[in-house]
Amino acid sequence: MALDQIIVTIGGISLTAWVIWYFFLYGRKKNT
Amino acid sequence: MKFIDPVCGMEVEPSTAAGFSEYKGEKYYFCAPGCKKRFDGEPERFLSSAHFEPMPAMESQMKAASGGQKMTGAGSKLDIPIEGMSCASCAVTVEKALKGVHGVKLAAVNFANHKATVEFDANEADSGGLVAAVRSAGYDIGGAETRLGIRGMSCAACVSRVEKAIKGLPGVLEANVNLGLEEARVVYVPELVDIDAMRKAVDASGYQAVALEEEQVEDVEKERREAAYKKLKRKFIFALSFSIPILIISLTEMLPFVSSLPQEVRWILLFLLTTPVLAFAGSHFFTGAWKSFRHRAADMNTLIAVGTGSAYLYSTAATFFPFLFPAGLRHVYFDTAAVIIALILMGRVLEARAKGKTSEAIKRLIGLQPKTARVIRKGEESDIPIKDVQVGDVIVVRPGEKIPVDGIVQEGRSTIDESMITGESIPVEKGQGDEVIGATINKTGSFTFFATRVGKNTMLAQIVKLVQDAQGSKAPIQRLADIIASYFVPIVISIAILTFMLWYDFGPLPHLTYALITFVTVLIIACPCALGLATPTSIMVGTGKGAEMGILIKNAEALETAHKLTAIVLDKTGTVSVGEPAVTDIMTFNGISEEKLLQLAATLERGSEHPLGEAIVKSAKEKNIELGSAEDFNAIPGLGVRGRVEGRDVLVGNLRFLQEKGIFTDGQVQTAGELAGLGKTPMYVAVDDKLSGILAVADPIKPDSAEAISRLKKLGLKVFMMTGDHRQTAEAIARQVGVDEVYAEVLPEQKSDYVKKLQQEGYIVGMVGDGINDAPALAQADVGIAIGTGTDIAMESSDITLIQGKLSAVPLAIQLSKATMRNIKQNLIGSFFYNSLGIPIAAGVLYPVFGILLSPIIASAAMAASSVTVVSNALRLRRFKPSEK
Repeated sequence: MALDQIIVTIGGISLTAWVIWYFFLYGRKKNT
Repeated sequence: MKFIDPVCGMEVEPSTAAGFSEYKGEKYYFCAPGCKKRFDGEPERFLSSAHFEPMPAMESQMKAASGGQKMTGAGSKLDIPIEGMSCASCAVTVEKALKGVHGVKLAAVNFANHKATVEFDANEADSGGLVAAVRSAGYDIGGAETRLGIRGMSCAACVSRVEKAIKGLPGVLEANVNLGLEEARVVYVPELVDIDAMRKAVDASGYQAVALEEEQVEDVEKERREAAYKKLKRKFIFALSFSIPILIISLTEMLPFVSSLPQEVRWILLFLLTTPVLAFAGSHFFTGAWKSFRHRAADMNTLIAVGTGSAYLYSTAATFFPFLFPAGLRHVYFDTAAVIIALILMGRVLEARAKGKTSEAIKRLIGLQPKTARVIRKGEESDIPIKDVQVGDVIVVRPGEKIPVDGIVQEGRSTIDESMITGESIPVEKGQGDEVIGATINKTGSFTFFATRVGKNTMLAQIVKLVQDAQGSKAPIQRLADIIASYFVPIVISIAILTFMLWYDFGPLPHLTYALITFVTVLIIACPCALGLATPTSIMVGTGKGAEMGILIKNAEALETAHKLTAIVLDKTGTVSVGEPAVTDIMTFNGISEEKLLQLAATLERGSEHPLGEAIVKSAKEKNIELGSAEDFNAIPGLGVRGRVEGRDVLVGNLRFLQEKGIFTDGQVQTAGELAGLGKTPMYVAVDDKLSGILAVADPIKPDSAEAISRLKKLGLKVFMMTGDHRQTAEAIARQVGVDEVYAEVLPEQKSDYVKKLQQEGYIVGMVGDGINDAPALAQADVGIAIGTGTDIAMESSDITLIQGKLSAVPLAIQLSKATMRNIKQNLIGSFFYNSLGIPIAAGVLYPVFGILLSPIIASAAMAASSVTVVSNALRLRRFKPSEK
C-alpha cells in the first residue's frame, strides 16, 4: 500500500469515527 | 423608599420620579410625565385593583381566544408553525429542541405541514421559550405577523406591560412593542388567536390598541406560501440557466468547438459559472447545513452541502493550483455541483407544489365561510362582516345565499344543502325551531334565524380545528420513520467516507476521481426526504378526504387503528335505530277507523309522559289528526292509562292491563306476539271496554343500517349490537339488520365492560354510539366512533365523528383508514427500497461485476424523483372512492 493510501485509510477511519462521535455520542448527549 | 407607578406598575424612587400627584390624601409617584398626565385624568381607573390585576378580565379573553386549544390545569397546547425544515431529520431536531425546554411534556413536529404541536406546563414554560428553542436549533417560526398601534404608552415599563399582555395570549409567539413608533409587532398563530383578542388584551392592561392593518389571515398564510414557492422557483430557474452552459462547456468530447478552447480557460469559465449557482441558488443548503452542524445535527442539507461542496472545492483547487495534483488527477467536477443543485431545486419546486395540494381540503373548508351576514339590529337590516356577528343576532337568509353562522330558525321555511358539512347530498327541509349550520347553502325559501354559535365556536370552525389537529398529529407508524431519519444522515456520511476510502485504496485508476465521484453520489442519492414525507402527507390527504365525506378523524392514531379493527360494537338506540319511538303498525277491530283509533289514543296519551305515549301523540300530529281533551285521566305505572274522551271510556296499555280489566283479548294475543317478535311494543286500545285496536310502537331502524352492517361484515369485522332493551326486542332488531351477536339488557355503566371483555378476548374493538351513556364505552374502545347527530360528550370521547349521523359512514371510515394505511405503507416501502437500493449502487457495488457506476447527476435526479413520487402517491388518496363490495 502506498503512503497516500495509508493516509487516506487512516484519515477515512478517523473521520468516520469522528462523525459517529460528533453526531451520535456527543450530539445525542447535548440534544437530550 | 420605592413607590409603584399606579399607571404602568414600574418601581420609582421619589428622588428620580418624573412627578407626583396627590389623590384622596395619598401621594403617587410617576416614572414619566405621560403616566402622571393619565393618572390625573382618571385616577380612579388606575387605582382600582382591576387595572393592576388584568387577569380576571384577560382570562376570559384568553379562553375565548384559545378556541379549540385544550387547556387543562396549567397544561397548554400550542401549534407552532416552523420554517426552514427541509427533511425528516430536521423535524427530529426541532422536536428535540422543544423537548429540551423545561416544562414541555410532549412535542411532535410534522414535517409535511411544517407545524410543531407542543404540550407544556404553562407555569414552567411559555411560548417565548419555545420560540427561542426553535430558533436556537437553527429554524425559524412561521405564523402570521401583524402590527398593532398602541396608544397611551409613556415609558419603558408600559412597553413591557403591553408586551406581557399580548404574550399572555395563547397562540402569540412573539410580541415586540416599539415605544417610539407606538406600535406592537406581533407574530402569532392565526388558528389560535385573532387580532381582536390582542386588542382586548391591550385594552385590559390599560392601553388602547388600534389596528394598523386589517388583514385576512388566510391571505397572509397563502401569500407567504406563495412567496416561498416563487423564491424557490426563481432559484431553480437561476440554477438551470447557469447549468446549461456549464454542461455545454463540460462536454468537450461531444462538442468540438468547445474543445478548441484551452483547458485552463474552460475551467475558469466553469468556475465563474458554477460559483453563483452555489452561492445564490444553493446558498440555503450551505447555511442550513452549517446551522444544524453547529447543533450536532445533520440533515439533508448536510448531505447536499458536503456532496456539492467537496466537488466544488476539489475542482476549484484543480483549476487554480493544478500543480498540487498528479497529472492524472487533474480534473474538474463543476458540472456535477451545479447540475445537482439545479435538479434538487427542481424536485423541491415540484414537491412544494404538490405539498400545497395536501392541505387543500382545509383550504376548501375555510373557504366555505361567507364573508358577511345580513343582520337585523334595531329593526334595520344591514350587511356586517362575519366576525361582528354576535350570539343572539337575528340573521336574514335569502334563496341561494350561504348561511353565515350556526343558529336556530326563527321564521320561514326552506331546503338547505348541507353537503359541504355532512357529506349528505340530498338537501334538508328546515322550518321554525330547526338548527341551521353556518356555511351551508340555502336553496329555496327565505328565513330568519337566531345566531347560536359564532366565530371559533361554529361547527365549521370546530371541524377546521379538528382536521388541522388531526393533520398535525403523528401516527404511530411514523415513529419508526423518525427514528430511522435521526440516524440516517450521519450513517450516510460514514458510508460515503468509507466508500471514498475503499475506492481510493482498491479502485481502478485514477483513484481520486473514482473515490470522489462515488463519495458525492452516495451523499446525493441518500435523501431522507421521501422517508420524512411518507407518513404525514398521506395522513393529511386522508383526514382531509374524510372531512369532505363527513368523517371527522380526530388524530392520526385513530386513522391508523381503524384499519386494524376486528370487531365493531354498535349501540342500538340512535345508532342502528333512529332513537325516537314511532307508531309503526295500526290494527283496528270492531269497525273503528285507524284515524279514530289514533285520535282517541293520542288524546288520552297527551296527558302521559311515557315515551310510548309520546310516540302515539307524535304520530297523530304527523297525520294532522285534531286532538280533543281527556277527562278523568289516570295513569297506572307499568300498565297503561285510562280516561274519558268524547264521552267514551278509553283505555291504552299492555296486555296485562286489559286482562286485569277483564277485556277479552284472546284472538289478538297471537298478532301482538308476532309484533313483539319483530321488536315492536304492542299497545292495546280498548273503547268502552271492548278491544278496538292495537298500536305497535317501535324505534324504527335507520334505512341504511342493514346495508352498513353487511358492508362491515364484508370488511371482515364481527358486528355486535349493544342495547338496554329486552332480549326479545333486541334479537328481533338484530335479525332484521343482520348483526352477529347481541348484548341485550345492558345497563349504561356496563357498556364499557362489554367492550373491555371483547378486547380481552383479543378483538380490536371499534365502538359506535351517540349518547352520553356511550361515552365511557367510546373511550374504552380502540376506536370510538360518534354518530354526529348525538351529544357533544359522545363526540368529545370519540376518535372519529360521523357528522351525517348515518351508520353507512362507519364502513366508509374503515375503508378510508385502510386506503390511507395502504398508501403510507407504499410510501414507506418505496422510500426504504429506494434508499437501500440506491446507496449500495451509488457506492459502486455493481462496478466490480457489471462495470456500472452511477453518476452523481443521475443520483440527484433520482433523489428529486423519490420525494415527488411520495407526495404524488399521497395525493392519489384524494380520489379515494369506497368500494361497493
